[in-house]
Amino acid sequence: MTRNLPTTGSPADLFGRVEYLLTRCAQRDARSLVHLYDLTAGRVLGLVSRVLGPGPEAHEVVVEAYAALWQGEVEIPEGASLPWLLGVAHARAVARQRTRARVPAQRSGDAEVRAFPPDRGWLPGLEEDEREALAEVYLRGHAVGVADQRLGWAPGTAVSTLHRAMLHLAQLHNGTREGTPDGDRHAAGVRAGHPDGQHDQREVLA
Amino acid sequence: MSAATSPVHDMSVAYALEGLEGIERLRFEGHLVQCAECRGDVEDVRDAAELLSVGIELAPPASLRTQVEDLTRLPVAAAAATEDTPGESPAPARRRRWFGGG
Repeated sequence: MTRNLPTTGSPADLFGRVEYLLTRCAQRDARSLVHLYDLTAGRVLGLVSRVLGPGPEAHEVVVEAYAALWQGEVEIPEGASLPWLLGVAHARAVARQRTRARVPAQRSGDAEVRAFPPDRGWLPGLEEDEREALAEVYLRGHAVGVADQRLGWAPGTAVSTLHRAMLHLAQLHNGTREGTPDGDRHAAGVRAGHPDGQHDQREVLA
Repeated sequence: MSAATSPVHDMSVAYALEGLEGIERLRFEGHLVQCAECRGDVEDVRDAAELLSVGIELAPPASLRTQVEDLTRLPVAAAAATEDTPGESPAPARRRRWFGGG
């Protein structure tokens, strides 16, 4: 899988189209906003619905995200594409989820979110704990400390597991992973690579 | 810069995925100001986070599309101001050091 070869229907093609449409939206082209929505709404709604649970609140946040870029509430950076759009919607969904979590009267919504777990096929190449950490933080919108508590992990475990999960995902994505999956050994290797706080993880991935 | 528990650099992923809040988030943002490597990592992870929502798509109801169409019919006061001031934010031409290409 690569995004460097823009063939029809490929992620690169999708990214290129989204990037173009975002540029057009910044220039106030109304049709481009609707095209952008048609191209991306399924992804945006799917993500936001994991964080907030499916239903009206998720729908509201999705519309808010498109409104924010259309109305100039968020500046569209040069080169922005689907990841940026998903990030805008995700940040809003997480903020809403955390506000809701602080209001006791609305905590019942949490049960609804938990009843909407990640599919079995979500990120199948990752270790189970990596999937759990990503699901707690990215899909359910919990801060790492809360994720540690919910998963019964020692403080700091979610941070290191998320780090390992994304490195693992990078390896799978880049097709450079060697041998059998062994996230702990890999993570240890990464840490050993920068004992002085240096950033050597990219050498591991090179 | 030192971190009491986990290495501060390892927190780029948690930060990029919206996993930090409160004082922890502020502290890491303080670190980001002085650490270009972590800023790059955060950008990479935010790009890569797109992979985390593959396979969980949901078909939106027709009413959402109508609401987005309605947005284009509303007057936008703030837009003109942002259009007149081209972005001055530095956009380093580097992407996806973790995730291929680049």
